Amino acid sequence: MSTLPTLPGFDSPVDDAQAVFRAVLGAFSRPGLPVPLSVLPPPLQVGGFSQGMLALALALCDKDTPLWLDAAADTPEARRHLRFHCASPLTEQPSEASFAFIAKPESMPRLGAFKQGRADFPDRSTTLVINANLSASQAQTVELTGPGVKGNDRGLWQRASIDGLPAWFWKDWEANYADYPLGVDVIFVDTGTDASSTPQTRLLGLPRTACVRETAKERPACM
Amino acid sequence: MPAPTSKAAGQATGQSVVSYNFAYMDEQTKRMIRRSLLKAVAIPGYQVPFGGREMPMPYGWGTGGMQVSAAVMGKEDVFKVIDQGSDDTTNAVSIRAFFARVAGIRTTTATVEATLIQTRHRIPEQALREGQIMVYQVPIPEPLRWMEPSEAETRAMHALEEYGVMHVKLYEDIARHGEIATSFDYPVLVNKRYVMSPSPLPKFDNPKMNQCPALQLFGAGREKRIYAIPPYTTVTSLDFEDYPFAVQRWDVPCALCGATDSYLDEIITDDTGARMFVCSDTDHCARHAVARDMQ
Amino acid sequence: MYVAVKGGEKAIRNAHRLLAEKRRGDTSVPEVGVDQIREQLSLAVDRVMAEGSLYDRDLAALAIKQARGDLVEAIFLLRAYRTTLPRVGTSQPLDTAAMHVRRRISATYKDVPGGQVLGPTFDYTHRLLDADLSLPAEHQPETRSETAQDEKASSFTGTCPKVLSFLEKEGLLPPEEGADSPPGDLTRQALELPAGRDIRLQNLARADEGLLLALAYSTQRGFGSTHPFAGEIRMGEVEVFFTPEELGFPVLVGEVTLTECESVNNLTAAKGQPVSFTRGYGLAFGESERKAISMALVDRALRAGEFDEEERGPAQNAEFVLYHSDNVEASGFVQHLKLPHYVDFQADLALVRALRGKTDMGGNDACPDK
Repeated sequence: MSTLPTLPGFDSPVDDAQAVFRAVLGAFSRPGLPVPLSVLPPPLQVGGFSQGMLALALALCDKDTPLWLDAAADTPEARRHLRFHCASPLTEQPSEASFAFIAKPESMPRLGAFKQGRADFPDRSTTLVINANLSASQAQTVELTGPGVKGNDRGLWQRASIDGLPAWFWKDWEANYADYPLGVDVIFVDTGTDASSTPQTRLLGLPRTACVRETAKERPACM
Repeated sequence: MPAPTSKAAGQATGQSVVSYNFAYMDEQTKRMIRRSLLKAVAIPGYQVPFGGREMPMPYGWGTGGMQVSAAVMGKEDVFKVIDQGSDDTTNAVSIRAFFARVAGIRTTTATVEATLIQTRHRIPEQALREGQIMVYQVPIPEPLRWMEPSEAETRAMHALEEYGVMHVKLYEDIARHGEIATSFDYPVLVNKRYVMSPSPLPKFDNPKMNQCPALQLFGAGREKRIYAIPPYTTVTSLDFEDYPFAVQRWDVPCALCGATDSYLDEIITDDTGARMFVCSDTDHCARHAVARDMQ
Repeated sequence: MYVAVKGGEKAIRNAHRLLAEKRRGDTSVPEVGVDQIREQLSLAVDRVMAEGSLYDRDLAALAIKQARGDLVEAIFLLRAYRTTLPRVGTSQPLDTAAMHVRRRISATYKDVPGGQVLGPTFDYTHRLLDADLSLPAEHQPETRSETAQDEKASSFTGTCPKVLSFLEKEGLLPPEEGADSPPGDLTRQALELPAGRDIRLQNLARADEGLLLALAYSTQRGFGSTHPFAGEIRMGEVEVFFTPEELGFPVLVGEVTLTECESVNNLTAAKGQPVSFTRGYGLAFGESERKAISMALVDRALRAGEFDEEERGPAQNAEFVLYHSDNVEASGFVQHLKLPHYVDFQADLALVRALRGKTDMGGNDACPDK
C-alpha cells in the first residue's frame, strides 16, 4: 500500500477537466488568440512544470498517453504527480510521446524529433505543451493565418506575442507546416511572468494548420 | 459445481446502485474523445479513429454526436438538439431529455441562446456565431464509401489525396442526368485538403459550413470516427466549372411564417395529395412568424 | 390550418408505458423472476453474456427480462451498462488447460486421456416436444430428478490435458505463440486494418452468433474451405486470477464458465518447413457451443493470408467479417431507418422533379449558389 500523502489535483476533477479541455479546444480553434485558463490545480513546489502544464496533464493525459518531459520539467515531484493522477507512462524518446511537456523551450529538441504521424494516420503525432511568455511587451511578435483565423480567406493575419522560443523555432515550424497533414501541434502555456496585470494563466494554440510569418520577415507561401 | 455468481450483480438487481458520471460517460472515455477532438480540429476534415463506446441509445440514432456532446459539455452550457431541423421530433426530444437527466444541463430550443447544438440532418437557418459549437450526428463518415467499400482503400486515398473516384462519380451523374444528382450528404473539400462528408445535410446547408464562426464537430459512433471544421475554415462543395454547385430553392414561401430563405419540408395535407411547404427549422419558423405578426 | 407536429415527449412516454404493459403480458399469469431466467433459461443468459462481453448472470437475466426475451436487445442493454464500468485492471491470461471440465469431446480421436465427457448436451436428444415439461412441476414424472442425479454422479469435474497438445508434441501442429505486446482492445480503440489475430478473436468473441454460424457454414460449403475437424470442444469452469499492483502476486477473484473449441484444419507447409496441420480457435462465455465452433471455423478462415491461401469466400475477408459482425452496431444502423429522414427525402424529391423537368406544384428548383 502506498504511504505517500495524497497529492492535490483539481478541486473538482470532472468540472475542472472539462473547463481546461474547453480552453484547449478554444485555443486550437482560434490559433494565435490567447485563451484564459479559468481553473488551475495547486502548483508543484519546484521545477519548471508549470501550473498551466499541470492543468493540461490532469485534463488530457492517462495511461494511454506516453509523455516526454524536458529536463526542466522532469523532477521527482512532477513524476510522482503524473504517476499518481494520470498513470501515464514516461518515455525517453520524443518520437514516442503523445504529449511533450517543455518547461524550458530554449533547449528543447527540434520539432522533427517528435512524433509526426503517418500519412494514413496523421493524428498520431505529438502535442507539444510549451511554457512561453505570451504577454511581455518586448515579446517576439509573429503573424499567422489559416483555419481559425478570421478573415483568412481574405488574406488577413492574426498577430501573436510568443516569447522564450529558440531561434530556430519558426524555421522548424515552416517545415512542420509544409509537411501538412503530418506534423506536431503546439499549445503554449503562459508562464504568468507578466507584471503589468493580474496574474492569469493563458493558453495559445498553434495547430499544424497555422501558417506563420515572423513580422520582420517576408511572407511564406501559404495555402 | 455451482454456477459462478457475481457480487456486483446482487447489488445491481437488488436496489438501484447503478449510478452514472456527469454526462453519462466515465472520465477516461471523455479524455480519449477530447484528445481525438483536438487532433480533429488540428487536421480539419480528417477522420480521427476513436474508441467509440456503446451509448444507451442504438447505433445509428446519434451515438457519435452524443459522445462528442458528452465529452464537450459543461455545467455552463445551454444545449439544443434538433433532428430534421426540429426540436420536437422524437429522437431530438429523447436526446435532449437524456442530457438534461444525466448532466442536469440547461436546454433550449432557441438557436441564439444555445452554446452547444447537436443536430441530425440540418444546420439552423439562424447564422451561427463565435463561441457556439455544432455537433453533427454522422452515419457514414467516409465520403468515398459509396465508390469504394473498403476502409483500407479509402484511408489510402485520403493519405494520397487521391480523389479521382469522387470526381468520376460526379461526372457520371452529369453524363447520365445532366446535373450532379446528389441532393444531400454532398461532398465538400475542407481547407483545400480533405474531402469530407458533411453528414446527410441537404446540400442547401453546405454553404453555411464555409467560414462559419462556430466550431463544427462531427461524431460517427458506429464507425468510430470523429472529425471537425474549426471556425473560419474554407469549405467548398465539389463541382465543375461548367456545372457549378447549386442549392435547392422553392418558388413558394413557408406556408406558416412566410419565410423565403429557409429549407422547406413538404407536407401532404389530404387524400388527394394536396401539399404545402413549411420551414424545416421550427425555431426559425416560430421566430419569423412572431416577427411578421408584430409588423 | 396545418399546425407543426408537437408532443414528441408525450408520445415517447406513452410508448414506454405500452412497452411495460406488453412486457408484463397477461397479469393473471405469474410474473417471471430474474432468478428463474438465470436458472431455467441459462443458455439465453450465456449468449447475452458472451455477446454482451460482460460475465454477470444476474444482469444478463435482468436484461433478458427487460428486453421481453429479445436477446439482441438484451445484449445491447448489457453492453451499454458495461461501457460505463471503470477498468480496475486486467486479469492474468485464463488457463483453459486447467479447466474443470463438465463437457469435453474430441472428434479426432476415439479416446483421449481424460476421456470423452458428454455433459449436458442436446446432441443425442430426439427432438420430440416433451409435453411433460408443460405440466406443473408436481405432475412431472419422477424419472426427471433421477436422471439429474445420474448425470451428477457421472459428470466429470477434473482437469484433463488439451487434445491438440498431443499433436503439438508430435510436431504436427505448431503451438500457439503468445504475442510480445499486450493484446489490443476493440472496446477501447477503433478497429484498424489489417487487424492482428488478437483483435480478430476479440471481435469474433463478441460477434453475433447467427452471423458466425452462417459464415462458418459457408466455409464448409466451399466458400473458402478449411477442412475442419473438431479437435476438442470443452466446457467447464476456469479460475480467474488478478494481480493487484499493491500485492504483486496473483489472487483468485472468481471463476467463469467457458466453452472452448480448437479445430484442426487443412495442411500447410511454410517454405523449408515440413507439412503440418493448422488450427482455428473459438472461446465464449458460458455454454455456447454453437458459437465456439463457428468462431473457430471463422478464425481459421480469416488466417488465409497467413497460410498463403487464395481468398475464395466472405468468411476469409477480414474487413467484411470484422466490420459487420457486431449485432449491436448492425441492429442499430438497420433500424435507424425508422427515424425521420424527411429532410433528405425532400432533397431527393426536389432533385427527381428537377430532373424530370417538373417545377410546377409550388415545387422546387435549383439555382446556382450565390
